[in-house]
Amino acid sequence: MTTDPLIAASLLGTSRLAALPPPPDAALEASWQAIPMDNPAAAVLQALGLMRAMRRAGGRTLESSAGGDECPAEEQAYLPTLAVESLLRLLRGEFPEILPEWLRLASASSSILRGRALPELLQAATRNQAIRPSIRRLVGERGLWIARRHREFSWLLEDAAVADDAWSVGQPAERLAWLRQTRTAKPELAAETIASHWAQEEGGFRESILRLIAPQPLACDEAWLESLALKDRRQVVRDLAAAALSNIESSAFRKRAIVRLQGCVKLERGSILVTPPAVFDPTWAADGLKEKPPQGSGERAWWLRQIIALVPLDAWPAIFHVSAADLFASTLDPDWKTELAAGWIDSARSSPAHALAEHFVPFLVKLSSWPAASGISLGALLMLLLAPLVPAARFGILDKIARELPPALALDLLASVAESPPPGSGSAILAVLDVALANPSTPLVRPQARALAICVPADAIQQRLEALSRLPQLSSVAEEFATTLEFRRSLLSHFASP
Amino acid sequence: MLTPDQITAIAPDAASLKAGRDLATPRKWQVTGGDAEVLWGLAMGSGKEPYQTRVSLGDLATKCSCPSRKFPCKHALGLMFIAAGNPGGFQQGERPPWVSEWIDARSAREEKAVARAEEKASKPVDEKAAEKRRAKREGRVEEGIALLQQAILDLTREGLASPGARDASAWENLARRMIDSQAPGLAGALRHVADTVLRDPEVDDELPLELGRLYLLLHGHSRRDEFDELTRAELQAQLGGKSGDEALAPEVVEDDWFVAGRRVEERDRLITASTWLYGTRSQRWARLLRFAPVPQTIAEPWPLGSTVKAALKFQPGLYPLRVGPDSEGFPLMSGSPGAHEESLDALLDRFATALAANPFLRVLPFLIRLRPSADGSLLCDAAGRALPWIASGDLALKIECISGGRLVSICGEWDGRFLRPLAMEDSGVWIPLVSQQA
Repeated sequence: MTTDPLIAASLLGTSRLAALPPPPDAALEASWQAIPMDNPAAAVLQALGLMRAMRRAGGRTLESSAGGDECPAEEQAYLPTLAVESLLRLLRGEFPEILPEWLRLASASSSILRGRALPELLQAATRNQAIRPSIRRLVGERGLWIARRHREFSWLLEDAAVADDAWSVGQPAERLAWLRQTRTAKPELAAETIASHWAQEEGGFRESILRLIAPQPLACDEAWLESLALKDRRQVVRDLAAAALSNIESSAFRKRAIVRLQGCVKLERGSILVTPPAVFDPTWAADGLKEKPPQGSGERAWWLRQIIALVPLDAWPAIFHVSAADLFASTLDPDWKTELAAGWIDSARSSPAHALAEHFVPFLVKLSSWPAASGISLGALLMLLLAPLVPAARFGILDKIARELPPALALDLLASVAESPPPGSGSAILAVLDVALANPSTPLVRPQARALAICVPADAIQQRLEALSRLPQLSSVAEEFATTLEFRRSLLSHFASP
Repeated sequence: MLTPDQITAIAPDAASLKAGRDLATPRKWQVTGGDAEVLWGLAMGSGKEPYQTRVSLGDLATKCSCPSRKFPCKHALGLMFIAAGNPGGFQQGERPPWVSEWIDARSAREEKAVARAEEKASKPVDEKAAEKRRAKREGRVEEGIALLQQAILDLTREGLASPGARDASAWENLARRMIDSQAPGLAGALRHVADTVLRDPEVDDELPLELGRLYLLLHGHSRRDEFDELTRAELQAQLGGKSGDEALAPEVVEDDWFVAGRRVEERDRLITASTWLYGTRSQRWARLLRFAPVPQTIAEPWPLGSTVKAALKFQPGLYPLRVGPDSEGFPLMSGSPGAHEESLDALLDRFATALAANPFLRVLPFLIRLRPSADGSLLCDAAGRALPWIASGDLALKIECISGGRLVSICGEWDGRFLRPLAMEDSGVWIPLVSQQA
């Protein structure tokens, strides 16, 4: 509420006003006196006009609050402006399927983003966790500085170098960063710290710890994995712990799992022979096996499947003295084929990086009947298995199987891979694409057409566009494909320009 | 030197913009070509003959033989996108006849228009008829002013806290009356009351002050014969509309002008683009206003962040800022201005001086190296002084990301209470902070 008497007078009404209140400053005294009072409203308004000029002109600057810290200087070069503008278009909804390719090109360039694109990219990565790993380096020092000042972006700090006390006083993201850092330098210390704090941690954080160590569990982790994580209240933590333990070569857990396997499975002269267990040994429950089978499965089949599931596929060659290729070429025991396949699938799901994808994937594709109880589709499993591979390996496998998959599944898979084959490869993939595009009745929708445009290797784009431009008419789906290819071509040129 | 922002601003709608982008590929054109003045292309359409499309780079005028009723059409936008993305990407350099004919016809039209205007100016004027017209127009304006003056007096007598004074639609009606009375400047001031002042958190202070300003203007106008030429010119400019006598010549200033900030707004089916230009040698500020009726869009041939060599014509007044849109110039280069040493204290001094000369002034532009304070509520300069600012949450985050705690060049407006950023420098590139389309 205002305290100035002139303004108050104007708000309340001037009909009874006999004289103007005194001027707010002596400098206005003379002007005030010169205002006639015959019309009080007019007098007040004129005085207000003067007061406005005085107030507006009389502003003073303030002492600036103790300046916040400055962001450390960037050491890397900036991405070209055109590349940044393409990113903004991608984030605002044009060709969203190309965002992963942009991020790959940007990561390969070892340049960083300018500040103006940071808010949108950080917000996009906050919503979509999948792109977070690729943007960590891209945001430079600026991104980390912003993440420290805004909670919603604190996930960015997980990778950053953190202080020694981050475990005790930091936010969850910083504590995970500390763990990651410490595991690299002093893994035993990390393992001890996890063990001593386990009981006090929240369920969600315990799960995060497991996800952190899952890709590379170490021998020193065995103790807490077995005594604490394997017995955790949460199922997902127990499952992750079992998978981690089975991937530690020296662990007692793994040794027990292998012994159980050898008790049921034998490989002789190119055939896999199966004798499922007759009884459920009570000690198995501690390792996570469940005695009661689900609906539709017999007891022995269920136990067999679980036993197979707990051994990573890449352990089989050493156990049975056979090469990976020969393993999947073996004749499977006809009575237990389904459970064997289901068990292998389960094992692959929990340890996809140890699933001998190069040989297992062709085996899966050739399976005459997909085990219904596996709980996952072929397409989804293939995506899971291809994801951890390097692009050359991934596309090597895709090239091999592209023609053997039903076209709809092949296209779905390619669309979800959303990455272009390394230059010079991908001929089978292109063949599948060309057939699909030439056939107007292919059930493709526009987002898929855009995603497929990404599967064209960078060095084949020009040729494909020329071929398309020679066609008299393009279906709307093919048009979408062409437009996306054109965008990719201009994107590649932005990154190539200085 | 076309930028994608310019194309986005000139596109009639989002669908045309997308269609334009889709056409930004040689695949869709039989022929494309361009030189420093004009772009052209033959677009493959659904008809037998390809469409002839031309774009004049100097003023972004376009002509296309396609049947579209939108303007500029998607073909013109496509050519512009090709030019923006890949300046060297045009196939031919020599103008085909249908392009040179268009360019020649345009310059012939322009010459004729200039000749006509000169002829009109030099013709002996029918004094009596002219006097009659002037008197009639002045009569209408006087009527409108008297009406507004009385309305403001009545509201003040009643008390500005009353609902009558706070009714936005009543102010809107008054604004429309001012348009009828051929005083568009007053209409703008009244719309400002309805749109901005009534929504201000400090409306109890701001409404009386704003009405005080308006009353001073109206009262001054009624006694204008007592004032000198410049004051009369200023009063007339504030009222808007045609002035009675054009006795005072505009001041022409030649300089390299940096296009520092631009605001585009739509109000009542009229789009207004207000551009602030900073003279790099004269250190003067100029404000260029362009208008377009919806659904047209404004073609801005001078991109934000470029420096333009131009002779600007300043309209006479107590503190000349406004320049005519007929000022000619051409862009020299793109990039940030050189180091600008103004401090916030100097800005306030400049504002006080300007207000002393012209008490009707609302805002002054600034171009200062600033950074947000630690708590985000102030902008601080190199000397350690600060002023409050207004920015939406998203904008504040963007500025924080760009500045990284360091001083960066920011252009904006100061209204006596708050700094409002319009554009800033991001590692060598000048970018807008407010929308560049209506």
